[in-house]
Amino acid sequence: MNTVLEVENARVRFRSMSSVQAWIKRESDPWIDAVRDVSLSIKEGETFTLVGESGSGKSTLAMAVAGLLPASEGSIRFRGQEVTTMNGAGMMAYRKQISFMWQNPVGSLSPRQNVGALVTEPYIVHGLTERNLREESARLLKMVGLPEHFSARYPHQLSGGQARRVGVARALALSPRMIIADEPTAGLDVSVQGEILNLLNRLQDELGISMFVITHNLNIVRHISDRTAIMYLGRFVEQGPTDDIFSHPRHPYTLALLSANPEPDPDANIERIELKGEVPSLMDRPSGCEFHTRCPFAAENCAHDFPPIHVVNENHALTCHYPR
Amino acid sequence: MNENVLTIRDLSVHYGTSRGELKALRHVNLDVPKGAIVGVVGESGCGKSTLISSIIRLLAENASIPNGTIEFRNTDLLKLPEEDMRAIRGNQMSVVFQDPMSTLNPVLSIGRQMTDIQYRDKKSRSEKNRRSIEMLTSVGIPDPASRLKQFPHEFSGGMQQRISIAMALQAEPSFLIADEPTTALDATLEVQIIHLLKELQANIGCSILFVSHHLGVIAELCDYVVLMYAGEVVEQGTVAGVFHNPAHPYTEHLLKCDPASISTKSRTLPTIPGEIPDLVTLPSGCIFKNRCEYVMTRCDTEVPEWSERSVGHFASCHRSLS
Amino acid sequence: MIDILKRITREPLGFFGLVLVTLIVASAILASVISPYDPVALNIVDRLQGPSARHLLGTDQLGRDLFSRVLFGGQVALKVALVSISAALGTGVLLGMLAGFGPKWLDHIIMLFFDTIRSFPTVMFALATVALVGPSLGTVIAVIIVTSIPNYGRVVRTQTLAIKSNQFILAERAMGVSTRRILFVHILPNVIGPLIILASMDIPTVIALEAGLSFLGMGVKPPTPSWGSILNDGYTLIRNTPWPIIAGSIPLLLITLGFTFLGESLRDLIDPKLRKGI
Repeated sequence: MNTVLEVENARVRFRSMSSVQAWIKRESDPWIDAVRDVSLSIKEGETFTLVGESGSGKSTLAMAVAGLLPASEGSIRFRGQEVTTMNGAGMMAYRKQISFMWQNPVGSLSPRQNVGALVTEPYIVHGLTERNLREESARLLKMVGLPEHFSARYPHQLSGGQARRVGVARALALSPRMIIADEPTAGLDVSVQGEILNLLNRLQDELGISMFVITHNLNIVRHISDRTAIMYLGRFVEQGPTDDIFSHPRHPYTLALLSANPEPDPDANIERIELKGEVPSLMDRPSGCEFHTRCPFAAENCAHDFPPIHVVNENHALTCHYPR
Repeated sequence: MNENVLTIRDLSVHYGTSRGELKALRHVNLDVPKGAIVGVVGESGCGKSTLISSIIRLLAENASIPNGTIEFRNTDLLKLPEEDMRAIRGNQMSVVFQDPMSTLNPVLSIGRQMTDIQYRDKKSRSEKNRRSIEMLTSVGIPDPASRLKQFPHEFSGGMQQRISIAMALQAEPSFLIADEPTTALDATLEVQIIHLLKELQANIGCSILFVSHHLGVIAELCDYVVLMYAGEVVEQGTVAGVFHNPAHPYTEHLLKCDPASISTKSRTLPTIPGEIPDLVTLPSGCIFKNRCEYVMTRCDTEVPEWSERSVGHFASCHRSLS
Repeated sequence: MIDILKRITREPLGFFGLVLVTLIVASAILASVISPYDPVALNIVDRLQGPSARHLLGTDQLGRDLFSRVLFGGQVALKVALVSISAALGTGVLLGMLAGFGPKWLDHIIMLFFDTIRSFPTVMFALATVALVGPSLGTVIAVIIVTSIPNYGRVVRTQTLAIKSNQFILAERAMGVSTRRILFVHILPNVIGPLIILASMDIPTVIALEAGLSFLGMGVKPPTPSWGSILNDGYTLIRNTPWPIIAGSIPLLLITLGFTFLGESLRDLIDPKLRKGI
């Protein structure tokens, strides 16, 4: 299988103060790293899931992959082409091959455009106007399971699930090679969540699209994903095949995330690993292992030494002094 | 005699809209026993928010209550003059909302906001300050005395929600309404907040009405659970009773749908086919009939009765009766 | 659109406003058909008459029929209002969107321009312009355009800033949509609603401004009839007869009422925050 996306040691940073401020305060490093030393690869037809809490940098990484934010270091290659150095025309061609599903199902649709105009906009933007847009809209809506008459509706007239389907239709319009889905089930009811995930799974099986899914909802991960990475403070702390991570989580943070998931069974007796305190600020990263301030298993050297990469097998690795 | 803090009987709430009356709540029955945590589960549009607004009597202007009673500690809130109701709110009954950032005033310091809400007490400022510190300590905020000077945006989301909880419990109310208090939080913080609520509830001895769409949280935190669908309460019982032996098909479906309850990998997840009926033009008979796999002829005409299935476990469905 | 008109007619004040506006606009358009006399034809014999069956609003000091002059004056007033407001609206929307969406330096330049204009009192600015280039209808229109641009521009800028941070704008950018398309297809439809209301409520202000400038002799040149010049003529004759003043004020009063009522009911209908019910 071919590799579609390959990210190597990517770093994405934001200015924490303007250059003038930095000069006045004699700050040599006026930057904060939202994403640091991240490497991953996604194969054709594969689903890669990125799990992390808010502020862990997962959306930032996705934006960098999509070329919406610059990566200051490292490389991001899509089918062999370097994304970080693409020019305008290259970027336009790249945008045709990837598409986004946004976190907010209704809010990511332009409110004064009807569904028909929304799902066919990709064709107009990429100059494919020789197509019969009405037919294309009907085809796309059918693909995501919406009746044709929905093309006359406006975003505010849609339920969360319907708006999500429109988002999927838009993402599919240009037959992309990869879809980046930011919290595809956010804001949806449990019963609708299932519908959307089934739709995505079906379309992926039929069209062979690669998926890059970002979520904090661990419950859905194991049903949709082939590989999973856990992100904390902008770094991957553990990465591996989804099944392995769910059956044998090794990093304490993965363990805590998995056990933090309340089960809908009143008798469930979860051995819970409760984390202390709050996520530290990116401006003030802890020394040594960045997780040691919250880790229930932290030993003395965790506060001083950056943990080594612990390789479980060729697919599964984590950074921890004391893997479980 | 009455061991319930809150008893709702036959409550209906309608909204006047340009399309006609929207029957947002219909003949709702609900009990919150003293010292218990009752979970309310339902998907969007099921009437959860309307239920909360009618309990605290802050319904939208176009709402009307054609029938029903809301008894809080043996007085019908719906008959109470506005002034008495205001005395109850915040004092005997308080609410924690979903988004702490929008419930805390962004331009006032936490300390100022916490002393402001003690306006009923005739205490000196330093005493009120001490009370604020005490409350912040109880919700696990480190170094509370110095943090009183800080403003809401200087706290993280989890801390803000802790502060909201501290403020809601400041007057030691006998009844707390928690409206999806953990939805805006991450999983590890969600667990922390649930445990905090449980601990505080045990200390103060109040009852909690905990509204959520997260079945796992309900299972972990609550003693009783109420299921709502399209403006009706369809099932009520103990958490163990309802989760192990769901009597209403909707409950059964919902439990099956939750991806958390499916531990083996599956590419096709269960769903509830069909859509919620329009609450302006209600169908006859059972409200769930268009999505129910057990639908019978009588479901089409007869509204199912609210009946007791086993001790303390109620549901409205024709199936298990016939 | 038709739906909005229908809903306006359901409200008494909105309906009243709509009727007034329609009447005045129709009478101005049909002025040459319905006016009984030539508005500039002199008839010294019949000068300074009160209202009668022959002259509905009487005549002025040169014996011109005031009713005809009022009708033709309406043409001038509406021409000024429509031309200047649509031009100001167009420019204001464009500048406002650029300020709100564009880079920060552009925002600063445009805002500086807006603030400079707004720091002049409108009438002073008009007087200065007229002193420089001389009185004419064109000058009046130009002055009104320049002074109203900031009003619209500022509203559009604020709205654009708010819309810019919405997720759908990011979604469009990620799809490869050009800035021009984002501005005109995705932002414009979201900001234009409140502006149409603002503009409709500005029409009477602009008409009054034109009348005011003409009253001061800075606007329309005689003998072209304008409500302001009718008032000006009447003012000098106030000791002889009140009728020219009355004839000049009535249309001003009616059009101000009409557009204000219409604008307010439009605002109530379009602004979802003020709309009742869910």
